Amino acid sequence: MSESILEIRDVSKIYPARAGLFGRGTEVRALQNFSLAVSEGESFGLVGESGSGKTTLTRAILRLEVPTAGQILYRGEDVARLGPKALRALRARMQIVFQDPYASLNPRMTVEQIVTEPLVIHSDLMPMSKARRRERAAELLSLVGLGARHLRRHPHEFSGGQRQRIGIARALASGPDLLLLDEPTSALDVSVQAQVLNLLIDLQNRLGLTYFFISHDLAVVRYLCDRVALIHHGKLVETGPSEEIFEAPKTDYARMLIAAAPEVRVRGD
Amino acid sequence: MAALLDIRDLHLTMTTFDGVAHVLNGVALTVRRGEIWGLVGESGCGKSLTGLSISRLVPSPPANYPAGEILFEGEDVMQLPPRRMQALRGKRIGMIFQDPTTNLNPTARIGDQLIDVALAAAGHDPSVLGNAPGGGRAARALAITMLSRVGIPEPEARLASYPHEFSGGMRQRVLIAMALIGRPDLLIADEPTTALDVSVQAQILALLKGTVADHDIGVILITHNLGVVAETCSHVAVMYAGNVVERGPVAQVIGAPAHPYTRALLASVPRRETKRGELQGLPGAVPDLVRPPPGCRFAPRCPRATAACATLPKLEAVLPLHEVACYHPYLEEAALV
Repeated sequence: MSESILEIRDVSKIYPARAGLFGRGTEVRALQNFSLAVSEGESFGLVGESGSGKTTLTRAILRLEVPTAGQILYRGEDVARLGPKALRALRARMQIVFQDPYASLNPRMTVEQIVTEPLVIHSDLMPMSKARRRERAAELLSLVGLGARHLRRHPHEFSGGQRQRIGIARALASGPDLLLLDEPTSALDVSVQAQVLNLLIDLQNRLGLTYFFISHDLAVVRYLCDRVALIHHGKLVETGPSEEIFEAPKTDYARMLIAAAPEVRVRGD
Repeated sequence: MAALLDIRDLHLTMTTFDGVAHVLNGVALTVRRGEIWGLVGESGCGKSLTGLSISRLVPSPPANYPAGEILFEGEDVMQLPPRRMQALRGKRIGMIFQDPTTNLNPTARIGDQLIDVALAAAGHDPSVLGNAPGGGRAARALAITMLSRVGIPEPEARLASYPHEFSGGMRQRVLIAMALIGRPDLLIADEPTTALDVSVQAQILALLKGTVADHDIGVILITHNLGVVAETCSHVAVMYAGNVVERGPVAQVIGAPAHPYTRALLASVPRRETKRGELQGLPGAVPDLVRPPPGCRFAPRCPRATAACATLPKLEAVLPLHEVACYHPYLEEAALV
């Protein structure tokens, strides 16, 4: 039972109706009895259109949101029941890379400050001298294809792809085993996207990370992920190995989504 | 017959803090009626500025046009006085932008916004409203027709809606309706579906294709999504750092790219058969446009570059209609198509 690093069990999230200026609104069922399990070391893709509930689910996994019903288990432990100290320890193991590399790095911090911030926050778990932290920052940067020479620079001196590498280095700083990747390449050009995707694959091979990859880009999910879940209106539509979902989708929604995604392919071949 | 749009050797410079950036470096593009041209390239390659230049929407300063012509049905829009340009814009040249939210007035009803555009278009060409007196009623009828044509259900009732009551896809449809209301001959769509879900994107692109077929207009579709180009466009022009480096029919350019940049761009898109870890990125970064490399701007990142690349290559046909600006194109593959 405990081979799943992350398990989502019957999770529902209902945002209650608010009394507004024009009377009562309707409640929003962002997630409805949603279940899935992510195994250690795999890349799991969560695919859904805007408003499908994928962000709510991601926030619930990080406990930025508490589900109305159901459980989210990290290595068998209910995330919602953790005390403040245990929760902080959990967050060192579970990190997120955000979508927009332009908005998710503080422009007033140096790269060194950005990358070592998790080490400072989790200094009770991993006490380190300042010099050791700088070394660690340099290691992390070289891991993502940057170098010690970048430590003193600020985010604005970097391109989008380089910024996303900094975001990944920061996510890796506390030594997590589960990375939540929230559309990490959708703000990047395709040529840069390819580099970042290959970096993610390389890091996974070297560090044995588990990826929970959130995206609406089917081609990217297919390329990166071993297994996929499709979410629509807060419900799980279909889940299975990528190959199966893309080659032989069982539901109408999956078929529609796959047919609608434009592919680089010349007609007639 | 003159082409609908003929951009010849267009140069655009921008004054920046670092110096003068050579943003467009001799762009050449010809669009005929019935054609959908995809304009593709990485961020900063000048594709949006090319689109904006056609409707003269680039503020000057900082922009400066040292050379080039933009012939719209044989007439150079670069030479037109502002009043004539105003008449062209929105009436004969329609534009759709990426973000449907910021391009609609949130405080005005959809119907009023459409009717305003219809009346403005009729001011330049009364036949838009069928030359009927009492423009208001005719404009309202036209707004309803346009909304139903872009697939908005219950268009008459929807005239009273505000933009926030519409979804992103519906707002983009409203913008398309608005762009088509003056019956433009040329439609410039700048990333019209980038902010939308794939299912909505497919509908919008189908609508665009239908419009071209029904009204015999020309379209420039600016996008960075090569999949969208492959499925929607009849032709494609690939831009790199201010130059059109390859152009021609979609089947030829996407099926057998001759320019090393086009090949690299296509190789970086994951496809169904791409194995994990085998995606090819494009090493290096786009050049600094203030101090661009001499000659071919792709040369510093190009696997085939030689000393010859220090002079700028011109677009030359490798096949009829398929042109490439490169001294070392991949010709073997192109010949096979």
